[in-house]
Amino acid sequence: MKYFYLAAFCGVFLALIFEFVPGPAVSRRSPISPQFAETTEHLEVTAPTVPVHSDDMDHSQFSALETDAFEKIERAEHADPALNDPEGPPRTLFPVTAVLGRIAVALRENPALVPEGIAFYRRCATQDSDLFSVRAVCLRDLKYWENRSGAADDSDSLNVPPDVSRIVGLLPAARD
Amino acid sequence: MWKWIAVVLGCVGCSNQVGIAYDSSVPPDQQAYLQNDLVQLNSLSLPSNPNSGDSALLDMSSFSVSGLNSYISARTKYIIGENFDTNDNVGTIANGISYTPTLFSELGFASVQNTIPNNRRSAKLSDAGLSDSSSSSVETVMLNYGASIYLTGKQNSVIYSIQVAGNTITDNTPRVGIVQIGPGLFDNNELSNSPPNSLANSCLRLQTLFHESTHTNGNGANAGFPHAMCNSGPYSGYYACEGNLNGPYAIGRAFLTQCYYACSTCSPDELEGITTYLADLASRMLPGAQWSDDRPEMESP
Repeated sequence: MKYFYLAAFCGVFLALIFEFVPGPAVSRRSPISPQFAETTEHLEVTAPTVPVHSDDMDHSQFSALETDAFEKIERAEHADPALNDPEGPPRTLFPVTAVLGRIAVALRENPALVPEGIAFYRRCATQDSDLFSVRAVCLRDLKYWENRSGAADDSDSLNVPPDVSRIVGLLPAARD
Repeated sequence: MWKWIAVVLGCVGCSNQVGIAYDSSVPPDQQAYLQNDLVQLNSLSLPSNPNSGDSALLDMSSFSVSGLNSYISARTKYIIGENFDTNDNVGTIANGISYTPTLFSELGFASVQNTIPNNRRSAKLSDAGLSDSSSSSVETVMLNYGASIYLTGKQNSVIYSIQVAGNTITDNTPRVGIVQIGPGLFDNNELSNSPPNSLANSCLRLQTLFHESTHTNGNGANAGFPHAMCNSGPYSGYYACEGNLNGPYAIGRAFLTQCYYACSTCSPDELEGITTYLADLASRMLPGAQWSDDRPEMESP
């Protein structure tokens, strides 16, 4: 029985540590090898240049966010897959993910930005890029925002590669 | 708070709902994160119908938490750390074995075709083998170590044993169920706009566990469900695509889709992150992918 109490005590003690130590404390090997340093400095998720919450976001700030998105997409497209385990998600995808997430939040919090958001998603879906996964997310979101805003849904008439449409077909519908 | 207490108490006994045992090479904090992921798996409130067709991929008529647990527990028994020492822990049981593996099947045993198509192999499975992968510059996310060692043995006509979590395991099937954590699992596999222990990031790590668990499937040329070479896109020339409709990427996508619908606490940017991840998984499916026999093979020791 005393072992149970000892285990419980240790458990509570460790739990308290985990509760108050922020997540990134998890053991990590040296995150990036020196030979990747030059590349990864372009891959890091930088501090947002516009507010994460869009209450204060104006049109010019949203425009800056769009520019940021296309820059990150371009970097992701041209990153060497050998820089990370190609079986897993590319390291370069996560900065793109972060900025797309900020756009999704901005449109939900400020309906005045929706027309620009639709234009962004259309441009993103039809851009000349082999990063089909990102284009597919943009095409899905274009459909969602066109339907939600009552705009004419022209997504099916866009000139996108069949692979992009195929990926969209495997994605879950966007949630409110 | 109480969830974390339960998680860490669970670690004291190194047990969990799916019966996975951790090798001592897994750092305690990483164990705690993975334990939390499994707790999150058990607390998922799965949707009733979306993408129900995907459930057949995981041998379920419809998605259920118990079914997801069963899928993992049948395929992953041990988790080892990134510093697991192959030289110290892998031994030889038998040499000069002419592999004639049989299949796990309730219908009886069947012979296995062993002709490997030229267009299909896994760089990771064949390269990882018994070599020291720690010197690689690639940040591996996770690796099915047991299947990797099994395939190396099959190639070399050897049956290996593996010392893991205090047990000596005969590695005579890819279903042996030993998965290795790679440094990328925590460095390179999470949404930067979400805490590491969020449900969204747990879903991403669990997706990886479902992916690796599926590498225990298959037989003959398809033993371990190896990846196929990508013909186009950013992974062109890499063995990072999927030729099996029911292969690792497909299973990972099916699970993560359920997580997407089940994550009631996910913020819009977390959902967008999961969607982008899903799109990457979907992009790995080759147009000619086929449904493959997922029964694992086993060689008699």
